[in-house]
Amino acid sequence: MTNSYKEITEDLQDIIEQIYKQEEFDRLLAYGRGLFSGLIEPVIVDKEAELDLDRLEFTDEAYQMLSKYLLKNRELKQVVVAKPCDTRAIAFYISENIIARDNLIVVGINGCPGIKDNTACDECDSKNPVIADYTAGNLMPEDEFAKDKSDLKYLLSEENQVTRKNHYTKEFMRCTQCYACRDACPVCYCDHCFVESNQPVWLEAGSGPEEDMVFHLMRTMHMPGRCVNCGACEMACPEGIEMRSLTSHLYHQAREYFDFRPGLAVDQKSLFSDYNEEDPEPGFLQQEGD
Amino acid sequence: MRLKKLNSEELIELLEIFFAEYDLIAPFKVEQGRLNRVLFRKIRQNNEIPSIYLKEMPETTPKNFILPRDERLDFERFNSEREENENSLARAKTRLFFGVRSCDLAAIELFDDVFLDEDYLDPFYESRREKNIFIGYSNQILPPNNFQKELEIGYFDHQLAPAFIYEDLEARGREHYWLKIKAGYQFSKDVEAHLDNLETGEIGNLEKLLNDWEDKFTGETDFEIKNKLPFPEKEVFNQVDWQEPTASCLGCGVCTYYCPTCFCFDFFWDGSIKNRAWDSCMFSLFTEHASGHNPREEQHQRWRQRLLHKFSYHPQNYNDKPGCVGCGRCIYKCPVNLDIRNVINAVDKTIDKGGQASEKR
Repeated sequence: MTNSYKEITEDLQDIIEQIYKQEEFDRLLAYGRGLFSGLIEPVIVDKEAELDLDRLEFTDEAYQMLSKYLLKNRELKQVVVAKPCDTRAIAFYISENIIARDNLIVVGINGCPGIKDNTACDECDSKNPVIADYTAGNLMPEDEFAKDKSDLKYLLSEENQVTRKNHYTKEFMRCTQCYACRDACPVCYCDHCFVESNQPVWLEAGSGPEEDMVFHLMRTMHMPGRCVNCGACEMACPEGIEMRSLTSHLYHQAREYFDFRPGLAVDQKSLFSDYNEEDPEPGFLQQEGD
Repeated sequence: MRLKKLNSEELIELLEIFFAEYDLIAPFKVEQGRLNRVLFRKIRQNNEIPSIYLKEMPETTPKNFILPRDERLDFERFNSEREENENSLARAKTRLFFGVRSCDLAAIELFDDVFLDEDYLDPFYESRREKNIFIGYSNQILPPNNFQKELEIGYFDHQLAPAFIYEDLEARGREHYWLKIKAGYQFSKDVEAHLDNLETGEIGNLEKLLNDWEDKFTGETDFEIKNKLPFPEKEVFNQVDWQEPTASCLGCGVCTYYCPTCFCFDFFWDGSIKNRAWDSCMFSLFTEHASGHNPREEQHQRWRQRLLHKFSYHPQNYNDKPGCVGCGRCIYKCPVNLDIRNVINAVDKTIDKGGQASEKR
C-alpha cells in the first residue's frame, strides 16, 4: 500500500523539525503551499531563515523535482525532501561524481502515492527511495510495484516510420522552445547545453518543424542510461507535448536488454561504461523485419 | 451607450454575422497532452462557432496575432507593397477578436505605447495593428492568480474595446449575456440590423450585477502592492534579496512567452531576410556577449531585470503605467509555480524598510 499524502506530510514535518534540532546544514529543499497562489511550490530556504514548519506539505501536486535544485549549490550541505524518483536522480549524481554524498541529507518518501496527471507514475518501478537518511511513511513491499512492464508500448512501435514521424512532427509543432523539459529534468545538467551553443550552432534561431525535431531528438539521444523515468519533462511542458514516450522507450529498452535502470545505487556503473559479452546488440542498424 | 440582452442562441447568431463580416478570432478549449487549454484561434467555418469557449481565461492573447512568435521583416517587399496599396500589408478584412479579457486589452495598449511611439515606429507592428476590433469579455469567475486590480486595471471595461460582453453563468435565457456597446460606436450595417432586433437591457441591472462580481473578486485575494510605481530602481536594485524569492526558477522563459505584455525579441537572418522571434530575459543567452562575458550570469539577476522592467523601467518611461497587467498567466503556466507576487512582495517590503533589508548579497 502506498502512504497517504497526509501521513507523509505529518511525517515530513516531524522529521524536518528533528533535523533542524540535530543536524548541521546550510539549506533546506522541500514542498510548501504558495502564499498567494495556494499552489505547491518548492520551498528553498537557508537554515538561519525563518521557516513555518506547518507550511511544508506533500500532496499529489508536488510534481517538481527538488533533486534538480541540489545542483545549483553543490558546495552547500543540503537537506532535500525526495520522492523515490528524486532519490534515483540523486543516486545517479553521486555515481557520476556530480555531488558529494556527505553534502546531502536525503529525506526520502516511502511508498510514494504518486503525482496527479503524471503518467510516469502509472509505470513507476521504484516507489521507495533508493537512498535516504530519513524516511517519511511506511516502506512499500517491492512485489506490490515491481510489475511486468512488457506490455508498455512507446514510440508508436506498432506503426511504420512515416506515421511515427508525422505524429512527432505534429506534436512538436507546438514546441515553443522554452526548453522547460530540459530545465525540469533532474538528469539534464551539462554545464553547456547544445541548445545554448552558438559555436557551433546546433539549433537555428526561430521556430520551425526541423528545429523542433532536432531539439527533441537530440535531447532524447542524450537520455538513455540517464533518464530515471520520472515524467518531469512532460509535467513541465507548457504545451502539453507528450515527449516522454521517446525517453521512456529508451528507458524500458535498456531495462529489457541490459537489465539496466539508472540511479539504483550510488556505485552503479553507467550504461555505456559497462560491457558484458552476453549483451544483446539490438542496434538501430538492424533492418526492419530482421 | 447601448445595452442588449442575449440568450445563447442569439449570441451564436450574432457571432455568425460577425463571421460573415470579419475575420473572427475567438477562444476554444482544446485537449493537448495532459493539458486542457483555452486558446485563441481563427474561425474557418460557421459550424465551429457553437464550440467557442469563453468561461475560462484563455492561455493565449491577441499578442500571438499582432506580435507573432516569428516574423519575417522583409523590408523590400513591405515597402513596395506599401507604395502600391498606400496601406502596407493591411488585411482586406477587419479582424474581430471576440472574448478578450480587460487585462489583455490593457496589454495591447501597452504594446501600442512601445511600438507605435512616433520616434520609434515599428511599421510591421503597425500594419498588424490596423483593422482590428476587440470585443471584451467578463464573467463572475476571477481568473486564477489574477491581480489586475492591484495594478488599477478594471475588470469590466477597456477603452480599446468598443463593445464588451458579460456572461452571467448563473442566469439562463436572455439574462445570460449582456452586450454593452459604447456610445457613438457603429458596427457594419448587417450587424447593426441584427442588434436592433435584440432586447434592450436595463443598465441599472447590469451595474448591480457587475458590482456584485467585483465585491466577490475583492474578497479572493490578499495580495497588495503598497508602494507607488515605479519602484525606485536605485533603492531596490542592490538592496532586495533577489535570490530568496526566485530560488526555484528553472530559467525556462515560460513566464515571458505566455505573458501578454512581454515583447522582447531577437533578430536572426534567414539568408538575406531579417527575421525576428520572441526572446526572453530569463534565458542565459539573452545578454551573453560575443566575448563570452555575461552581465547577468545568475538566474536571480535575470529575474531582477524582468521585475524591474515591469515595475520600474516601464512605468518610468510610460507615465507610471506598469509593464504588467496582472493577468496571472506567468504564475499558473510556470512549471514550478513560482509566483511573481512573492517577488513583488519582497521589493515592497524592502522599500518599506527604507532599503535596509538584505545586505547579505
